Amino acid sequence: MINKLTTLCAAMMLVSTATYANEQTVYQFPQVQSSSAVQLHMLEKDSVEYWQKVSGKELKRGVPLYVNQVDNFIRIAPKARFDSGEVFKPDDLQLDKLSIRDANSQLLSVQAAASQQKMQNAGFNDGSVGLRLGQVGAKAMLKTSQALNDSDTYLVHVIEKGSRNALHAKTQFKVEDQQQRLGIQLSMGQKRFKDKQVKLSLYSPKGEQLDVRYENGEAVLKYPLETLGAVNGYYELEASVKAVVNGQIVKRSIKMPFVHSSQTITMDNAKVTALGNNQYQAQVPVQVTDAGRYAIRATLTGMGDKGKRVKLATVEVAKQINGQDNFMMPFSVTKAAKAPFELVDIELTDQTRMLKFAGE
Amino acid sequence: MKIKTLSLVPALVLAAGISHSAFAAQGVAFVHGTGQQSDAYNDYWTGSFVDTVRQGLPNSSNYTVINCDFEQYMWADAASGCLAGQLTTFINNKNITDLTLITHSNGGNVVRWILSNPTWDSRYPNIISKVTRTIALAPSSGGTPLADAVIAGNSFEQSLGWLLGYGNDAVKQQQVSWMASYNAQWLYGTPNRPSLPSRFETVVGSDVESAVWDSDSYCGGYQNQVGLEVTQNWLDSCSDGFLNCSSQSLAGVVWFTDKSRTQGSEPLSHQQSRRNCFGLPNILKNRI
Repeated sequence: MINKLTTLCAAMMLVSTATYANEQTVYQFPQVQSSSAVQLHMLEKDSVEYWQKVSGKELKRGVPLYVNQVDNFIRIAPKARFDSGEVFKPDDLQLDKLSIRDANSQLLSVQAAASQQKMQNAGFNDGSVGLRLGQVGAKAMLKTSQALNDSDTYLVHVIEKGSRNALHAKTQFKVEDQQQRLGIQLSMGQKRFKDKQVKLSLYSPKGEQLDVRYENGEAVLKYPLETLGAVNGYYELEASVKAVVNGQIVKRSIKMPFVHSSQTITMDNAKVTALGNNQYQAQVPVQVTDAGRYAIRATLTGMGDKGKRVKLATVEVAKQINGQDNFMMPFSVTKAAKAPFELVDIELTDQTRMLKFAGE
Repeated sequence: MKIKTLSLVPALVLAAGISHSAFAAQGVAFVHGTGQQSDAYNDYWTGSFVDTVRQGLPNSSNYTVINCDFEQYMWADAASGCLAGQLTTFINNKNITDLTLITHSNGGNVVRWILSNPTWDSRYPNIISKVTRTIALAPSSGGTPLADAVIAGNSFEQSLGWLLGYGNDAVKQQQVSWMASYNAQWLYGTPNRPSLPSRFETVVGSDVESAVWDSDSYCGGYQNQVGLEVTQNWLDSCSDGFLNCSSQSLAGVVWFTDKSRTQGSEPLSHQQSRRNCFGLPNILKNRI
């Protein structure tokens, strides 16, 4: 019953809204919304995997594998390469031509193999094949006897599920405009990494590789970032490390997304007007740096019986804004309250570029 | 393309004081997961699934099967925009006032996008006001490490996804850290975030049977079961072969975990949770 009443309330708001400003999209939440933390500052992640690109020539000669536990899985996939304006996809890999050998070229046991079909059933529809190394401890080399093109590219991807040697990354999620340094803390247990032990790669939302280097816990970008917001996906920072743990070489890769942000919208003080019959309107002046569709979400508050500020209703409004403009926010409330009325928990959204900002 | 006109007819009816129940029309929409569908009724769900579930409606013709391009990011016009368009048409044509959404996998994320971003598109408020419940079958609310694995080392090829046919935006979106960022900023219904405006209840698949000798392994297609030997390298012990249980139960509330209600207490693999397996359609029929 309550749900139906709130639905009715929301629907009635749609009616009243239409008379305010036709070009706005307005939504009043059925209940007052709690403040949502719009600022995501850091992301953390662990990895027990590594991946590296190798050439056909290297794969024929032998590629070192860093596998330290029996619970492992090795995926090998053909990767496209771009040459003279054309995209080349390498030959498919033949599982029976792949072998893993030790430093003396003796065959190491392979416990299980996954064909292209089996890999495809698991979602790897890129021509991947898979192996599991049954014997660890020796220096392992992955090798093929297949007649691969020397310059073709393949991906070697190793996972050691449940490994105690996980690479932990904690990275800054939001990079402000013109900022060319991005915090990235990397650790493996108590171990920290020196600059020369970390190899970084940076990719734009479109997949372009950009120049970056690692320096004392930060990624240093050679050029300012170009793509604002998350609407086309995130930038990704990829770190690869190699460490010696208890005499064994452990290799790990990790990929962390982040967004390039700029304060594309700012607001001035809101003016709240009581219209009578529990109807209120907040006028919020805003300025934008880039034309687009923007939204504001805010909760109206007033003074309750005991002189305490009470939350009355939460509304979200969106419209196209090209420069200076006003959001007109209609509130329909059921609780009695007195002036002064104020907006709290304000959140601004750039819907065109997908950016979130805390209001003032 | 965002439509600027609000659909006001249902709201006007309500505002005029006409009883809601007098016009209540219950409907159900089937929302597929990742992929580009043109005949999801046959290709994604199968007719026996849909036709069983819709028998639970007072009027069994009040259903629609969504066909959209969910290889795009959930906010893309081809994804949530397409979904909004098809839901709006269904609501208007059938005068639906009480809408249940049945989603599978990434379809749950596209629906959560609409429910969490009410002004992103002017069609959203009307849809949100009609949706009374979402039944999310194996939703990828927390993403999957398999998406990370598929994408790993593929940055160059993603830019050529149109050419090579894989690594699409929906897969990128379902990487674990990407979903963590969306859940923290753009989507509702996960812990410490605002709640969704209507109930979002999940069905969790917890295991996969792939034994050749077990006929249960063949429901939904045996070939879909055997990938587990590979995917288990990336997944927890509790998973449906594609998603960890923790991801499936991250948003909303868990309605049930497969074995607690299915016939023979069988688990539902990721493929089986959208097929006529182990009495699932009947369980849904009795719920809507």
